[in-house]
Parts: sequence; structure tokens; C-alpha cells
Amino acid sequence: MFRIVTASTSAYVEPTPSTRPTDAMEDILMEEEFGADGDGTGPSRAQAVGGGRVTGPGEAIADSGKWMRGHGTYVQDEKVLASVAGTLERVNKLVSVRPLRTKYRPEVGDLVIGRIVEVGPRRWKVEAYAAQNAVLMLSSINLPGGVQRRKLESDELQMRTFFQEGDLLVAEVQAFFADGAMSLHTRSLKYGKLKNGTLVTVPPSLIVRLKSHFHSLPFGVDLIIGLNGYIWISKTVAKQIRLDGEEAGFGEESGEGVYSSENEDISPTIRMAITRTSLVISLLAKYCIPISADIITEAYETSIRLVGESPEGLRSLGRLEVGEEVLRALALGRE
Amino acid sequence: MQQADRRRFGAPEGAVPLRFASTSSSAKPSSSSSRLDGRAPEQVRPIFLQTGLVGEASGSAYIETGRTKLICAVYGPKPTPPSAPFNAKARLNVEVKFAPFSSGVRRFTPGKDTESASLSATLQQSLLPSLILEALPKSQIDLFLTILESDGSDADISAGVTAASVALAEAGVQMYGLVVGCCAAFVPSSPLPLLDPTRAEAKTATAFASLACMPALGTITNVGVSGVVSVEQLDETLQKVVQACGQIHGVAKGALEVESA
Repeated sequence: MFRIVTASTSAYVEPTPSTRPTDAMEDILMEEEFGADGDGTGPSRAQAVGGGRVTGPGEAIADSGKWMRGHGTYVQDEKVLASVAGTLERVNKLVSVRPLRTKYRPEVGDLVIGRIVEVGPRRWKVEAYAAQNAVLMLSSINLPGGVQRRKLESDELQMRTFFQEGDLLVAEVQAFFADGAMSLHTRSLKYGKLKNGTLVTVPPSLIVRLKSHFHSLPFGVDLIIGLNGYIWISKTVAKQIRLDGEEAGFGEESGEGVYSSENEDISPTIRMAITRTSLVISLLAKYCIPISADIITEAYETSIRLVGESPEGLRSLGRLEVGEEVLRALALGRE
Repeated sequence: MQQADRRRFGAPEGAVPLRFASTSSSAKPSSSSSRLDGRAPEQVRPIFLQTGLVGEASGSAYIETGRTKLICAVYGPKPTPPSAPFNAKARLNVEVKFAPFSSGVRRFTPGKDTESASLSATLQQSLLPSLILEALPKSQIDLFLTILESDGSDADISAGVTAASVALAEAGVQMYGLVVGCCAAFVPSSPLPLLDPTRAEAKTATAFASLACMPALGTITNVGVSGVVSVEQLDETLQKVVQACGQIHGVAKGALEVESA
């Protein structure tokens, strides 16, 4: 946690302005012996170089002639250097550094949860833990009742009936603007306004990218895990079945209900389940455990086993020693 | 009789002010050293550096070196307010504040003094060349440095630069390298300049040199010299300061690695 520096004990190579210190620093990738990687192992197979090695800003990582620079790096003097503190990652010839605690870096197609902060001309500004506020255009939302048509001036005038300041919504990243702000859309039955639940925020780097981020947990709780680190925990709503047999989501058939902010009745048991889920997620995030629906379910069940289902047990889950005990039991159970 | 100030919490009845027995100074000057705390002239004080103390902030760092104690918090990058004009690069707002109890004499209007304004300017100047602000258009980064205990403003700013850079790195702001600071004082009583001087040592100084650099790149971001000193002596001293910065960089990087690992 801390180091004492004295003149005699310094592990760091002392540079002088005349000699470039990068020569003395380890050139991590240059020293690594890699076989040819162009064997079609797939670009999705991100591989940690040097065992997920931690680098700091300004540290030389690789030779820019042989390696491509990714996020969190820059090139200087034919070397790829890290520009953030984090773990080194490699996909084929692309090296990047992933910082632990940083703002969410959006990608097209990501599922995000955000909060409306501003209603503007034909658009909403959405806070989604990115460097810039996201934009949700009026043209990229579904109208209540599932009708598809051009948005009229009358729709512009009643934008606050769809989303107001402070409303939470789940959306998908559609595109980017020139300044890096993301444009969102909710033009699917899965997306829309959030109600009947609570929001938990965790660092975005802890979210595991999966096929689906909508989960229905066995204890009457629905989970939406936004890739920006915002997690929505809500009461399970019964899915309506359409005539063609597909599940209807937000909007369809329910008509006016989509943009209503009225919560349904939530029973005390479900409230407890929601609270427990949020406590468990915060606990996992505190100890930097990657978050997915599976581990949340497991941790939930472990916590019930350890502290019981009573409100007192739930309250004790917030305590440090109880939380650690739950995680220990969880780790033992997974082995 | 003057009416009690209702805005303050009054002491209970019969309370008397604390009285401290005169303590002997913890730093006894040793016979061999020219410095008050027994260090070698080119030795810096031990450093404690920890990240992540301010939970609300995007990044934060606490640094303690000798009696200098600072806490730095970084908020952002976040969008600029709508009133701000378009800027292709992110803005770095720096605010240095002295805690009321930081410097012996009580400061009644923290943040309103001229000292913190000049410290803010120096700090910003030292940090700006290290940051890749082009990557963040229309954004701002707010950096707050609170001086909890001051031990001479040169030492404050040196430790402040280190803490600020570590806090920025923890916040995930892209940078070319970590910036660390160190300073030196030229005193008549010692033939060699004293690195990382305390307030007591700084009092007798005839000249100061403070430096901020990125040891990972071997680049200097800011140099400040005040007082009268020969060019040769200054050159020699700055090289020593850069060497000391190399050691401090090791501490700064260690603190970040502990956080990331």
C-alpha cells in the first residue's frame, strides 16, 4: 500500500535528461516470445500479455513497427507507450491498456442504462457515465402503442410526456457524434423507461460482456446489466404473449403504459429480494469481482444461506465482516 | 459583554481551552547532518502515497511526506456546461485550497488567498503538458487539491504535483506519463543545496528551485527558480532534483499498481 523511499533503496532506474529512460525500462512485449498468431484463432480471443501485467502511464510496452496501438496507448519514438494505468491486453497484433477505474467508453451496440438530465430540441441528454452526455433523439424512440410514423411537431411539444428529467431508461448505443458523444435509441421492445426497481452503479470495467444483458432471476427479480456499469434491479413483470407467439416487451399492447412513471405494487418479499440483490452487487463490486447474472445469483443464494431471509439478516449483509464471509463462502463454493 | 456567535457550536459550560505541555521537537538535529531532521542534503523525505480515498471522485490520491499532507481529488472528464464555448480539447480546472488548520496560523477564508491562486497556476502548468486532452473534446476535468498540513509552499506544490498526477491517472485520464515534482533550497549554512526542504529550512534559504518532470519520458514540464544562484550551481542542483524525481516516480507508479493489481 505504501512505499518508503530513501536515497539508498530505489528499485527505479534513475534517468537523467540526457539518456532516454525508455532504454532502461522493460520493453514488455519486445521481450515476450510469441508464436505466429495469424492462425485464425479469432479476434475475440483477447489475451492478457505477461499475465495481465500492470503498466503505468509513459511505460514502453511494445515496438510500434511490430505492434498496433490500441486504446490507452500512444506512439512515440517508434515505441508504443501506455497512456493510462491498467492491465495490458493483446488481441493478435493489437495492444491496448485497460484502466481499472475510468469513465465508460461506449461502443456501438452496447446496452446502456442512463438518466435523462436535459430535455432539448428534438432530443434528450442522457447521463450514462461517459465523458460526454449521451443524446437520445426524438426520432429514435418508439411511440406509445407501437405505431411507426414520423414524429410531428405535436410530439416535440409533448416530449416530457415520454421522458422527463430524472427518468431512467435502458437503451442501445446507435452511433457516435464527432465529439465522441453517443447517440442512443430505444426502438426495440426491450428498451424504454425503467420503473419498479432500483439502480446500482459499479465501475464499467467490471461488467462482463455477454450475449444478453436482460436476466430474470429465480427469486422474482429482473436484472438489466448496462455495460456502462449501471445495473437496474426490478420486480419481474409478466411477459405478455403476442398472437405470433413472441414475447412482447415494453410498449406493445400495453399502449399508454410504456412511458408511465407509476410504479406497480411491489410486495415486501420482492422488495427484500431487490435490496438483497443490490447489496450483493455492491459487495461484488467493492472487491472488484467481474459481475454477471450467474455470479449475482450465486452470491444471492450464498447470502441467504449465511444470513437467512429475515430483515435482520439482510441488514447485517451491509456489514464489512458479514460481506467478506459471504464472498469467502462464494469462493469456496465455486472451487 | 460580547454576545456569543450563534453560528458556532459553543463549548459546554465550565470548559477550558486545551493546554499542551511543551513538546520536545521530534526532529533532533544530528551532529553529522547539516539538516534539521538529520537527512542528507540530497535525500527526500519518506513518502506515503495512496489512491482511491475519495469515493465520490473519479480519482483521488493522498500524499504525506514529512509534515506535508495533501489530498487531491479529480472529477471528470465530464461535459462542459452549456454556457461554455466549444473547445476541441478538454479543460483542466485546478483549485488549490488550504485547510483552515493547515499552516500554524489559522486561515479564516480558505480558498480566498493569493497563495492558493499562484499554486493553482503552477500546478496546472506542471500537469498540462502530460495530459492527452485532445482525446476529450467538449469536456472538463476538475482537480481539487486540499492542503491539510503545509510545510512550506515549495514542498506543498511538489507533493501536490505528484498527488495530482496520480489522481488523474487513477481517474483514467490519458496522459503521456506521470508527472512528479521535487524542489531544492539553497541555504547559506550548507555548501550543498537541500532537496525537499521543510518550512524551517526554507526560511533561511537564499534561492529556491522547483521542478516537475515526467521521468518515464525524461521530459521536464515546469521549472521555477527564485532568488540568487549561479548558473553552474543551478544546473547541478536541477540534475539532482531530476534524479530524486526518478525515485518519487517509482513510488507514484507503485501506488497505481497496487490499486490496479
